[in-house]
Amino acid sequence: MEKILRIMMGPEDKPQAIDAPLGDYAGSGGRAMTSAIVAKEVPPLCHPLGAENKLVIAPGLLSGTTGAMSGRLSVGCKSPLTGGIKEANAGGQGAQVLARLGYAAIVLEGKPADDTLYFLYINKDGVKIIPDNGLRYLGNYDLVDRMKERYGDKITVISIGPAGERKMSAASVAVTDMELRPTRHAGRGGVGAVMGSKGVKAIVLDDTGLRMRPPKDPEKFKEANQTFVAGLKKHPVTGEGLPAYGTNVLTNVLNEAGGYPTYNFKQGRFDGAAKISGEAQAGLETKRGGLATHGCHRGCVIRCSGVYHDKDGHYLTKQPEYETVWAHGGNCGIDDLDTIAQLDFLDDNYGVDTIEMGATIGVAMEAGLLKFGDGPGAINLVKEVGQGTHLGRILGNGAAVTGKVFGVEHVPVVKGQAMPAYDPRAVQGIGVTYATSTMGADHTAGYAVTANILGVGGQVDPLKPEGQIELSRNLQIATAAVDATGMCLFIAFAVLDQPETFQALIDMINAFYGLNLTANDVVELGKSILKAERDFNQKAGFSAKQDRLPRFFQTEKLAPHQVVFEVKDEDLDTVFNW
Amino acid sequence: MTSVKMDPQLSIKTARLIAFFPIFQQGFSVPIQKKQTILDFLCETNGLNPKVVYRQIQTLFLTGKAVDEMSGTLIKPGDTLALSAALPGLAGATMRSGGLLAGFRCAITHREGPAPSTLAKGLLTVKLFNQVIKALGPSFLKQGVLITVEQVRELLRGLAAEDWSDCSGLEINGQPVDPRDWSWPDWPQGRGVVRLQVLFE
Repeated sequence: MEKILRIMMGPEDKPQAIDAPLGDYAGSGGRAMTSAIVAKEVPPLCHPLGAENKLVIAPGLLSGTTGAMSGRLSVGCKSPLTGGIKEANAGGQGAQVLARLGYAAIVLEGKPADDTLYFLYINKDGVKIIPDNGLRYLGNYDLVDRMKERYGDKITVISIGPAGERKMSAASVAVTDMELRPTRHAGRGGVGAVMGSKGVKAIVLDDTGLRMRPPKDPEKFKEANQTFVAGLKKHPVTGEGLPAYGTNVLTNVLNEAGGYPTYNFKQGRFDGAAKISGEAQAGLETKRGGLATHGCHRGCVIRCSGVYHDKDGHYLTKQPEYETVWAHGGNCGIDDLDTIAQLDFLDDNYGVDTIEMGATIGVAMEAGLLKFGDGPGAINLVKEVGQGTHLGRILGNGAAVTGKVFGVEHVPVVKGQAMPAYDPRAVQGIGVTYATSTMGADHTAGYAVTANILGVGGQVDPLKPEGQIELSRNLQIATAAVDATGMCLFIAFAVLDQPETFQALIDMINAFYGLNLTANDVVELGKSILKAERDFNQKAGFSAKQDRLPRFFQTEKLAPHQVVFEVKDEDLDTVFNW
Repeated sequence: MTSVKMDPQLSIKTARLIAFFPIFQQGFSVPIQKKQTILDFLCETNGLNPKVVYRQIQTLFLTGKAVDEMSGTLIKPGDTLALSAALPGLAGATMRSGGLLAGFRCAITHREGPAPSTLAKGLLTVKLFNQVIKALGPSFLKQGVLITVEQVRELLRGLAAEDWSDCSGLEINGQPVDPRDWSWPDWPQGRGVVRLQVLFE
């Protein structure tokens, strides 16, 4: 990954592609790359849909290698949803193939002179920027079929659906999986809208004729990778739970804990949870000839994904993730897996973030547009988003906008981004992360790497709120670092428990690049990413005021435990003190 | 709860454990006869080695509150004990029993009060999730569990829909019946509980 591909979309008449050296960005990957470029090159006060914003697409440091789990692709920009810096990442094949094509990043810059729609085709021979208005408003599935007809089935496609073309703030960027389906999404923060504002419908990647990226020390790399894979396979989360039930294994437990946001964050338990649990979903998928165990990218050994068939045994969608099942399920009072699967398909096809859409429909239900539990009604609302109707345009811009338009007080967002599937009143530490993350309400921003090595955890009393601030800080640092590697965050549990597995990850990076990084270096990497993001947000106008949860979380008790969010504002303001 | 005298005993292949998933997730009841901790209950009821229990059950709740120490937490009649393996994600790490991130969920962490002086008898509701279903489910069912009439009705309806495949025997109150001859309107309606016993082959 020795170069950056800069695509100048305008204002000149004809877009241009330029291969640029890495320069100051050498050694960066994934979120480290996207945040560094955005922080340095995007004016924080620019309009997110304007020419000054840039969309940065970057594989991780270990993407495109034989290293396991290295398939995450980061997509960064100034977010039209939050107004701050954004990094969203996706699985699928994009990171692997882009890295093998030799690119540390693609940067979409400028804005086209007119409304011509383009797609890019990139292979070992170079880059083509092709105008094609015939792709306008195609769903992601039809778009991928068109590209398959044109270029064969060895391609990988990064694309936006009609939501991104219409520049809706809930729009995602889709990445195809190993079966060439657009099922993996960089969902959060409206990154798809920024791609749409650049006039780019799709990026088609073809690495035919190219090999895996070779490590500097192949023997050490192979040994470290073997240790890493062995660690993942032997751990009960990564080796058993996730492959068997996927991320939706969380439904029953969050529900039991009373932390499962239900009816637009009105209560913490949903009576229908067992019907839409990971256990129920895996059983149904297997019965119908789908798959309960499936990897989203080559090199994945956890295989937490799956394939969901309809009642006639035909493909309907990928196995909906926990966040999707919650957002369209319990949050909306819907307890039917087929309805949720249909919503998941529509979200993927139109290219919208499933979390934002589910939260938005929950707000719409609270507004009285339809009743909680109305599955067909929810499907119709998402169809309006795909069709770009007046109502669809409101909904497609997320929960905050929808709440404002319909006069709803109960809107679960931070920095304009909808909260994911954990109520912060029950799990207060996650609330700290929601409030303070540079990304807005984000459940992946404060995730775990081994406590002993990174100083996470220590002597925290499980019965007291003290220590949560420091924990959240350290977790955010660790997560930022992992996001730079291209590694799937689900490695974190195995790494948390097994220090040798974390060491194997560092050994892989060292063996690949010929470095001598230590755990402290990982910490410093994470801090540098967060600092760049915080600086950008401050210049964009953010202050401590934005690092807060909506007030109702402090005043409305959550059943069944009757708890409120109790972490003090002055404590939230110390998260980034280091 | 009133017990309805239509106690079924099923003999069925282990591969059909999935048919019982709703019962495990919604919960079933078992009697508790004496003062005991969660760990005692699991080891004595299921004959498990404590090491096995700790390895397989890494997330657990007692009446909705996360438990950090099985050996120090007493169960009492009316409680609900929910058992799970370790889970992914920040939420999974947070809910983990005795986990480093337990402080994140202090508002819903179980706090053990003073131990009761008298022996406790009554019913405990048990829920099993994910891999724990396979690990403990057959053992509980072999000993017999109390479930509602509605739960049994749903179970038998599901088995009937698959034409009783893999089911080698059904007894009601100790008498063998051929469910294919069975007239469904004979099944009692309304509320109540039955004792379900399942022998896996």
